Amino acid sequence: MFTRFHLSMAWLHTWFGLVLGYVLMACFFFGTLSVFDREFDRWALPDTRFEPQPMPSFDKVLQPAFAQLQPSPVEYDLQMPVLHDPALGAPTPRLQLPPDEYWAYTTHRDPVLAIGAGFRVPLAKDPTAENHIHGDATLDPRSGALVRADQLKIGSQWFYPMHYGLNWHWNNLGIYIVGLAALGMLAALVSGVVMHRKVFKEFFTFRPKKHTQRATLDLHNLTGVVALPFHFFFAFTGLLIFAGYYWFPVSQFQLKALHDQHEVVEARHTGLPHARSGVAAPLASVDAMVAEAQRRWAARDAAGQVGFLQLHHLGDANGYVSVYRAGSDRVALVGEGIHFKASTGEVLREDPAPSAVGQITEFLTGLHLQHFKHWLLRWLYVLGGLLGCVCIATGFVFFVEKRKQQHAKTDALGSRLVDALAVTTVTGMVLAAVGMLVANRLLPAELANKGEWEKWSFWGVWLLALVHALARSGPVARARINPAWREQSWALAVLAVAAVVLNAVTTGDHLLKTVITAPYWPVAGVDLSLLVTAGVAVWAARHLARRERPATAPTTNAHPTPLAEVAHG
Amino acid sequence: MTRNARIATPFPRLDIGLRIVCATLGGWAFSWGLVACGTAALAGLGLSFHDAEAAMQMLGLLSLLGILLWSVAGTSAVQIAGWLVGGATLLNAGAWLLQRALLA
Repeated sequence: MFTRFHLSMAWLHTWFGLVLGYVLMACFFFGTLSVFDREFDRWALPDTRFEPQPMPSFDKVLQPAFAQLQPSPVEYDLQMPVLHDPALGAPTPRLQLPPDEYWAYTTHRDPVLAIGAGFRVPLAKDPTAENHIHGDATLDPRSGALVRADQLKIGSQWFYPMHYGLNWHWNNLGIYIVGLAALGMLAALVSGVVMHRKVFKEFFTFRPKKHTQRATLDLHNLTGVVALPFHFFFAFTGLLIFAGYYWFPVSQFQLKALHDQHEVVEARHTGLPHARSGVAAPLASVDAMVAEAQRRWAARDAAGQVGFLQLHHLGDANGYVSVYRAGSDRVALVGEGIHFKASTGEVLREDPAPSAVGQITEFLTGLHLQHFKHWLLRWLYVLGGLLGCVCIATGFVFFVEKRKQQHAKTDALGSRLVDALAVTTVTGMVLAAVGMLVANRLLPAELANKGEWEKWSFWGVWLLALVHALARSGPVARARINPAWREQSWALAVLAVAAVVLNAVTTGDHLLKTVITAPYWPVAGVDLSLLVTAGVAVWAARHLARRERPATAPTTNAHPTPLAEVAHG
Repeated sequence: MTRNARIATPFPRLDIGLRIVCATLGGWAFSWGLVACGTAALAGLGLSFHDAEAAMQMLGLLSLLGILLWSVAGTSAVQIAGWLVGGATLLNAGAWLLQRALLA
């Protein structure tokens, strides 16, 4: 496109970065929050504020809980017409579908347990397929009671899916957009390194006292370079986790025949029954199977907590129980499953050590999904994620600063629009997240569908931030700073402090208690982070006010911009 | 980034449009072919299907990135499009033939 390679890379960096940057900001910010998704869950659901629990007894706690599960009415309405064959008879009513599969999942940070069941559609169109309609719930493992289903786990059910799918479920469009943005991130990183070529120098260069354009570019380069391996690995491993879903699902399409043949061979090799036999059989003690699995892990010198438990082909002679280890002692996402015959408890199979390719995949996915128990590393992830946010945000600001003088002269709207969208995706997005926490504490606990109200409050605050940023963008057209940056920073400071106060008032878990008298770090950590956010927002607002003031006189960016400084984008 | 640093082309907007199509759809079609053909080939050489698929997916992602960068930096957009269409066709045909041979 250009006669010189680095100019092509600069074009790519500027325009792909601008268009996809808004999405990447959401990925990085909510990805950062997801590092502590379980802690946000505890903050939002005061009933679940107790210590993490190991996988409870199946025979005493889980089995009665599983018996209470029902197929989801929404999934029943959607899937029954797809799976059921009307030529074979009337569809089985929802509450009469027989359970075929149970599962339970926990991590070292979960006081409550996620459980679920797959219910079998008896008269199915394709009897060889799985034909499941699902139902799930959250369980208090101390009592075996189910936690209310209409409560939203704000961390793990809202912030976490936001970072990989934007919570935009229509045809999974959000997941596809994030996939494209992640590829754009990799390209922006490579092109960013190519166009600067002074990576080592930029590691140490930050001149905050210089004018906005120079200081912003310094910060953009510094945050990009300091966490370069982190940014690259997270974009790459994020892509890798979904590669078989949206980029290259070759085994579902082009190579389906080869894949299916391999599945049959593998099933024969593992000895685990692929389908029901049709012969009824009882269930032996699952607790005894778990104890045997733990004994075998201990013999390998591995930590013995169960992370995932799954029962297949319930009540059938082909039924089996899979017990997987919680991999909290290593980065790689391990399973090390041991499988038992459900009716006798006999070991059917012990998963072998993964192949070289399997080890690499487990390590890369584990690096992204962080099931390990290492708090310092977890905080370093937060730091890396926030550096990514700063890098993207300063990219927007630099784009605007570089062009707004010129756009002011020609009455072009570009800078004004880009700036308003930047305000919305930087301060507006944080406002939406904190606003959701405030709504969580203000809405009554007994409100039906409380989670839905919280979601609407999130989108509502974000939409307000957009409207505000657009409405206040006039000064950008005159080459000045949009006051919405400052005003939203103040709003953020107020909301963040309000969230901490509301938590103390409505739950009694104030910081003195959660830090000193009865330490409970999941809630204290969120409260302290909110206070730090408020502090940074106040500092930013005051700093912006100082920057805005001379803008009334024609001195802002009045310095002629040296050529060297416009080399970026 | 001055205007005269651009490579001369009679239809600059069309050139940018074609490069973006090459960077996204072209890269995807080529990399899909690479993953499919590579997976079939590695499976044929005795690697388990899932290992072959996982290894090729990693390579496929790097191929997507490389093609994206090449589509913007390459001299001629038409030439890049030609290579991508040709390569994607050959690789996908190769994958299909290999699968047929392996299942026979």
